[in-house]
Amino acid sequence: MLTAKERKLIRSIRKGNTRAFSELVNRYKDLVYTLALRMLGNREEAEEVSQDTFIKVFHSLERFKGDSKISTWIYRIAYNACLDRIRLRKSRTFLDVGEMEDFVFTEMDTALDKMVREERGRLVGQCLAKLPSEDAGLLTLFYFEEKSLLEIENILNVPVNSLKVRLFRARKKLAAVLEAHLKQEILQNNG
Amino acid sequence: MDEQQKKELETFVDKVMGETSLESPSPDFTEKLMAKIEAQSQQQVFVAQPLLPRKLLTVLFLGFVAGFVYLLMTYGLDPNQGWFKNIHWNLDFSNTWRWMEGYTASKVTLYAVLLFGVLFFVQIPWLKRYLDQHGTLS
Repeated sequence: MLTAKERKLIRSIRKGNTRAFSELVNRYKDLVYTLALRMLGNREEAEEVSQDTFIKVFHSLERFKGDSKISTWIYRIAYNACLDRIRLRKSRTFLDVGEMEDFVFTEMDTALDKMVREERGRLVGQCLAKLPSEDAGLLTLFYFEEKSLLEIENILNVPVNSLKVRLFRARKKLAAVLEAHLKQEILQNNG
Repeated sequence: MDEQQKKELETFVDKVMGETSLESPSPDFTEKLMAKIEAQSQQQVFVAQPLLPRKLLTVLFLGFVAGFVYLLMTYGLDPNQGWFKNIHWNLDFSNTWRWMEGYTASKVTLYAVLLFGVLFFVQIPWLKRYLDQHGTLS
């Protein structure tokens, strides 16, 4: 499961080489941070949880058997750390999207195309932050972790079939949140 | 939602998610993290371990208290009872210090002893500051 380079890196960290560990951190910090940001919806908290995740990775590396990809193992720790944080604060305010069934994707597409690329990215980020944490986490992992449901099955410990259902629901919720945001634009387009 | 709409939803979200990019934490994220980890591992190095395990210390302490209570119950505190009566106190120290009676010290010796005493106390704050900065004498 581990590449020769990863194995060498882990051996080096276990011997106490902190420089090797910072190499590992630099490789995975962006995805860990993005996952935490999408799930928690708050930059400070996301940074704190990312730090805690890597501290845990450092201390647990001794027990890492190498039966999964190291990225999978790190994301699992990060995902669980986010869930723990959410449990602590008990609630996260997200938009209640209800049961929306009919989307007009062409209209939403047109409205989005009118925006500058950065603006679009920012809007999608904002909408992701309004989804329930687990949906936001799932979408982030799916679209940044090579769209591999098998990997996500290992990270979240949820069977692939259930993941497909959850992914469908998460997509639907994201579309609903986006539609709510784009309503004004769509109305303007329709004159 | 029919199959066609499901397909459209998937395509739409694929496109939308393609617009997002990975976020980066603060620029000094790694440095802060490494500083935290190093501070933690230093703390672990300096954890004081008792020479005797806690259980043994507890047993010894309880044994000592039990023995003390047993002696107290058996013999009491009366100096004329039990083994107390075998102790002969001699609180007269005059014989021990008799050699001091004829002793006189020269001024040089006196100053030397005084200076030694002063320097002895001066080195305590100096040593403390050195150890705070370096953590060790070597």
